[in-house]
Amino acid sequence: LEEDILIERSAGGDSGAFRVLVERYQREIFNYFIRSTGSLDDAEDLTQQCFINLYRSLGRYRKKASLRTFIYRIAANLAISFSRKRKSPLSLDLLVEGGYDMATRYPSDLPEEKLHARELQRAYLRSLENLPAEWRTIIELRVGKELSYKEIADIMDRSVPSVESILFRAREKLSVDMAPFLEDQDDKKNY
Amino acid sequence: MDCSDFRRLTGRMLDGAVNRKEAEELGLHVASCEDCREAFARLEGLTNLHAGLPEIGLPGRLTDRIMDRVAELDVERTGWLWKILVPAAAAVFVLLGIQIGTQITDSLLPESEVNHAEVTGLEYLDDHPPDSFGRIMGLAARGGEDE
Repeated sequence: LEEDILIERSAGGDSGAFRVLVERYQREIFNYFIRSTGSLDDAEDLTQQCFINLYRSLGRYRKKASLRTFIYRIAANLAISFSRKRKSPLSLDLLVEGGYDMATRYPSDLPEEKLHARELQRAYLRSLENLPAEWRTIIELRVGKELSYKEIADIMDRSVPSVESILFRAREKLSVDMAPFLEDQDDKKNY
Repeated sequence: MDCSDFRRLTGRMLDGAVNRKEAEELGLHVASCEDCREAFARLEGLTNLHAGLPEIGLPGRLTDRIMDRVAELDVERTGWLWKILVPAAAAVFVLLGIQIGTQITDSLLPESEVNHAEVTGLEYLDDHPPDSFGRIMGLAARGGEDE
């Protein structure tokens, strides 16, 4: 069914139509929350809350933005609010212990290269942890979810230049934090 | 284009958001500046690293958990209506019951032959002991005269 029809029916209380929307978006939202919270349990709870909030607010949804943008707006608010309230610092390392299988998308089958890719990804996740929650969200929306600057600006209630500026600073910081690992990678390649 | 212009546009280039003219200028600069070339390669590597982070499958029953909460929400939405309607309906039934009961009783009982005594509002005074509140009030009503 067309998304507009599903939205209209869901807003009218048709839970079958809403279920189709949930099934369409829940996986990417769940993975967004995993990278925002560093916890599989919290990601699950927040995904549930995100769709509950969506169901409550579908009556107010106007087609100014896509439904995906609308859902990410809810998700980003939840993630940022969650990270402000959390007592312990974000630890994406916990994901690995919790069964987050690193390097599954790394193309090489060579054990050494897989191991190195895992190390690199862990280092990258640790660098992400050190970013402010809003920066991390913007990086994830742009690089992870490939949303446009305009969509991200709508989601974050910011201007497009402000989003670009945060992306620039976030990338610079990640680049500095990751420099030792990337240099190490270059050395290994050269060797 | 100098190195600061290049740095400013690097992010947009990675995001595919530069126009053709900007892309050409960036290409010319990166070909001639080793520092910018390395910086760009590092940022490109990070972008690929992020895009290559694994996604994991959904936990079992997540959809059902969400839909269970949605069903609870629907009950909550309509619950307030029932909270008003049920007591209101009960009150109407009670009032109707009283009305019907009274009519039935009146139709079954013979007309009363009791002669209602004329009540002046002072007769009860005799039932009250001296110095009781009722007697004092009664006396006050009579203007202080006892029987």
